[in-house]
Amino acid sequence: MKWYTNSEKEKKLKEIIKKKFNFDLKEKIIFRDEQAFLVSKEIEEIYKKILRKPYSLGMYLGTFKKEFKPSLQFMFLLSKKIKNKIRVSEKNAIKFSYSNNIFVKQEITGEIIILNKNKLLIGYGKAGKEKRGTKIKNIQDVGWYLRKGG
Amino acid sequence: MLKRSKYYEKKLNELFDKETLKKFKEFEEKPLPKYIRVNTLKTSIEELQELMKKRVEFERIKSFPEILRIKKSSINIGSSIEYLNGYYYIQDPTSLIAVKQLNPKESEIILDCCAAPGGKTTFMAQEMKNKGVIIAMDINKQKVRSLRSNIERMGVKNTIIIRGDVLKSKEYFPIKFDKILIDAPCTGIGVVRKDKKRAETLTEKEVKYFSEKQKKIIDAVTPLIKKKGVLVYSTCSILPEENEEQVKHILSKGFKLKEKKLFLNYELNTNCFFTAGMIKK
Repeated sequence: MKWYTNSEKEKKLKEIIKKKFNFDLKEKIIFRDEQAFLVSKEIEEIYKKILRKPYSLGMYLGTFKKEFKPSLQFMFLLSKKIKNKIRVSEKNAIKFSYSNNIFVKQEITGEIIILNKNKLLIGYGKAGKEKRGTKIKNIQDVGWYLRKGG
Repeated sequence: MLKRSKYYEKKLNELFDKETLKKFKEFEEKPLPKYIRVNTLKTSIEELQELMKKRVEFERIKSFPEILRIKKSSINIGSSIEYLNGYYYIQDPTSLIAVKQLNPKESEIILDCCAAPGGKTTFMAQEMKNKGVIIAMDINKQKVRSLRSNIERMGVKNTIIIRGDVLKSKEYFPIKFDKILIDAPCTGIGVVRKDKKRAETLTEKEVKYFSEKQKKIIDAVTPLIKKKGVLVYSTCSILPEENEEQVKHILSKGFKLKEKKLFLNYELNTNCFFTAGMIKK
């Protein structure tokens, strides 16, 4: 696993996040293979001094290869600030948090953040029209912390 | 009735007078109440109570403003949506005392030596308002994975996680820390209420093994603290070999004792916990 900085890649990722979520990232991004981490100046300074490769640092933004897949931690932040989100019923919230796709009545398309009725983050999906209504395909959900988080 | 090894029984008789021992043993048999620490990086006590009021009945704890005791619950508090959103951490209140003693500040660089699964690390970040830097280190692959998961879930962003051997700290970190927390690996004999088998299996050999390990960790990290920096040493053990003896060892390395305290199970109706705060001269 290689840690590196790449100003061109960083710029590209920030542009994607701006375009996709209308969200500005000001701090520096450091990469570890496909994983992107947002770091403060203080973290960056210490990162440069220490002689052991970190396991992770700062805020894990998500994976970025050709496409950007936001992490749950970043999604939580986005869920408070961006507009492309939807509140779903308790039944759908539970279903989605178990990695399932859901159907909703609202007519929406594209990538969207899923919240429950109390505005808590459930996950992130891709919405598209189908005969039964709008299908939201599960990309990532908070149940991950129980299934794989350890 | 709780089974205790001969060695543990002998140690208890050496440690406590009759009255204390009676109370202590009574509480070892009692079920442990569940506590959560509210993550003020993401929510407030009031908001969380309101969100969960139909499912969980909470009680506030006077001396721990961040802690809620679960009085009644119709759900599994380890898998609620609020938990998965990082609104709280399931945590015994005594373990917050080590962090309170460390008193982490927003501008500081702190080393958390044996950090997994991250209960104290994430509370430190909360106290530091996600500023400054915490280096959270642990050696075990699976434990580091769960440390990272908890750090992400709790919305912590001022941490560098290192998977590594604390005994090699000097090689890893050519820097000095403002503060260091050694939440030392120990026999865990103070958490019998959570793990009843512990009382049955404790041996003298094990105590020796851990006390030697603790000494080695102390030797490895004490040189990394700045002058006038703070070191907090904590364990979930009640044994002097793992507590007072280690504190004595730290003091012999040019530290001054600020305060130390052993919390017994009946004092706050929790697990037992030892913590000592020291300052480098």
